[in-house]
Amino acid sequence: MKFSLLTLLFALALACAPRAAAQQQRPSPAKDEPAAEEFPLERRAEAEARAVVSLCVNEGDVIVRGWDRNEVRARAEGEGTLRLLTPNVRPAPRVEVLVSEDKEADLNAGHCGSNETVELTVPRGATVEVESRTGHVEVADVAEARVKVLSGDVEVRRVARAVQVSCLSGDVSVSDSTGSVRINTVSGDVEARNLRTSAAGDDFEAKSVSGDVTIEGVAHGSVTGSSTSGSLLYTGPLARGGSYDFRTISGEVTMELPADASFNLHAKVVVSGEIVTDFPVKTAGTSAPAGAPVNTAGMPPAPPTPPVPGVEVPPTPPGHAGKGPKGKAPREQESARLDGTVGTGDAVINLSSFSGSLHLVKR
Amino acid sequence: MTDRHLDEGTLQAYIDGELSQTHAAAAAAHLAACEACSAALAEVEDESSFFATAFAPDEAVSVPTAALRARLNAAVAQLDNAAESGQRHSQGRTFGGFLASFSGLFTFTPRAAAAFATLLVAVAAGIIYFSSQRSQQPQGSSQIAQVNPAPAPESKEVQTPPEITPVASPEPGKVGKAAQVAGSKPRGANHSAEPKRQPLTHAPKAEELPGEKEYQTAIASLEKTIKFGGEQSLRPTVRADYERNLALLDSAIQQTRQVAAQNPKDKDAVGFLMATYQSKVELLSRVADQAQVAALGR
Repeated sequence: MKFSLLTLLFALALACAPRAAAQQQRPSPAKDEPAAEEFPLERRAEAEARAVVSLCVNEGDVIVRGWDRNEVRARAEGEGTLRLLTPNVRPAPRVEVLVSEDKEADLNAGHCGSNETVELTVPRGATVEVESRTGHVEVADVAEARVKVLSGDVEVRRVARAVQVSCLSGDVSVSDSTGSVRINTVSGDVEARNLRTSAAGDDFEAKSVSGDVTIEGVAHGSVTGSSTSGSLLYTGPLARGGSYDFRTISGEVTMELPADASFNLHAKVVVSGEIVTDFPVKTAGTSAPAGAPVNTAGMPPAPPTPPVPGVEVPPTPPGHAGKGPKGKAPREQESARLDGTVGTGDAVINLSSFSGSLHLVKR
Repeated sequence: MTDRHLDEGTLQAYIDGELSQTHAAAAAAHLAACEACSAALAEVEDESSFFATAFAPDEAVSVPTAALRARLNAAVAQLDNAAESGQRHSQGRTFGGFLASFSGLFTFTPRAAAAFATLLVAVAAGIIYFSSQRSQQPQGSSQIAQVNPAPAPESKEVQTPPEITPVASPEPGKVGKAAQVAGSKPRGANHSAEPKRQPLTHAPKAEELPGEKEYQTAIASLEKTIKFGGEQSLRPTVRADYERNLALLDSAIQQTRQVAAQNPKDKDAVGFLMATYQSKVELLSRVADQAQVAALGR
């Protein structure tokens, strides 16, 4: 009996060994790639290297990644329906991904369905168009990303040619990408980091109503930012010949620039707020006396007196920012303007606010 | 399925051919045996045919939502161009040229938006008509009153823009923060105090600035669109965000307008007003777009 039990155990071990070895040898999925078991629905279609891949999701998260195959693979969770709609051409120049939670759904072009998570893997040269009403969207390693989200965060990374993101309620992050960038949010914050141009004429634009906009390490020749009440923060060097336009109604604009930054400055506050600078600005159109603090209160009230060219306005001394002439009551409307040059004026900075403050800070 | 009456959703799906073959067959069997459900089906069919007629111009094209969206996008793009050309090239240009750039660019968009809104108003009026006809069959005279309700009087009350209130300075003697637009906030606090929405009225104003009327027309059209089907389609959190930001923009419009009206030659003040109008049009367009998509059941 003892012998037979041992024999049985040995036989079992022998039977299981090849299976265990095979499992060990099986390549594990990429670190950030969900296991196939998570996505029971899968469809594939041969596509052009620069295909346009589109998806509309009513509710659910979307993950899009580029790969080195001329093929679109769509995977979705749950037991619904998944369909890749393509023209009758191979490889397909356009692929529309259709999803539904309904197993028996008859999916046609333009359908906007739901699924907990949809994962698309597309050629690296593809243009991806994602529209989502509720859910987070992640796009990485493609040529162009056009994302429109009503509610949910958007994260875009490593896009080669162009990024367009529009979001009503959710944060937007765009990083490590090249090409033109346009971001438009209503209430979410915007973070743009490490962006470069890929062709002449590529520009950067970020717009928000109440969200804050942070721009860091953006090397575009034309950078524009605007907000209603959100703050705008630009950090990084200026491109030679670059143009930087930031405007806000009531938020604050801050530019953190290298100490050797060289630019022409046009700063304007319409109603109230300060213009505070760490840089000595050589003015050409104001009569601010040398040594006066450069802020709303320190500037002569509009209309400006005749210009005195060549006056250099030194940096705002510490502790002076925002302090006006002693004993004077605040004016109802006190606009301020500061036009001048720092260094040799290699870039142009236009800052304007209705009632927010403008800051130029040395890094 | 044969025991219970079919609900309206199932009937609608049955008419639209959205039921699976099994469910459709079961529904057909039930309808054959159930008078109440047959009657309900007839009602739903009537409504469907009404909608089909109302949306016929859009359904004539292959992808109706795309057409609607294109129209809205075109409207926004027109206004966007106007605002941008006004803002970016304002420096070094004459004020007249600046204003002319606005007047030339607002000819198409608001009309399109107005036409679109009119269509939706007609649809809504139709819905009211049909529902009142069904529910109040004996009260023939009152139907007319319901079908043609007296237009809600445009708000006649003159609403003065909110005052630019001096903000108590934390530092004595600090000048330069004398006024703030409601809703302005320190960095990183964008979910803080929410301004109460004060709807803009169309009360008589001292003088409209060039380009302003076109923006107001477009905004009114989009607001009508949203009113007849949009806001409800938003999730509560999104709707709250939408309301909060709309209030913020309304407040900013009122305050920038006050300054721009006092000094219409201040191109910066006028530029801020137009940019804020533009932001509002963009926000409303997104929600109106959502409303259309929801209305068409995409």
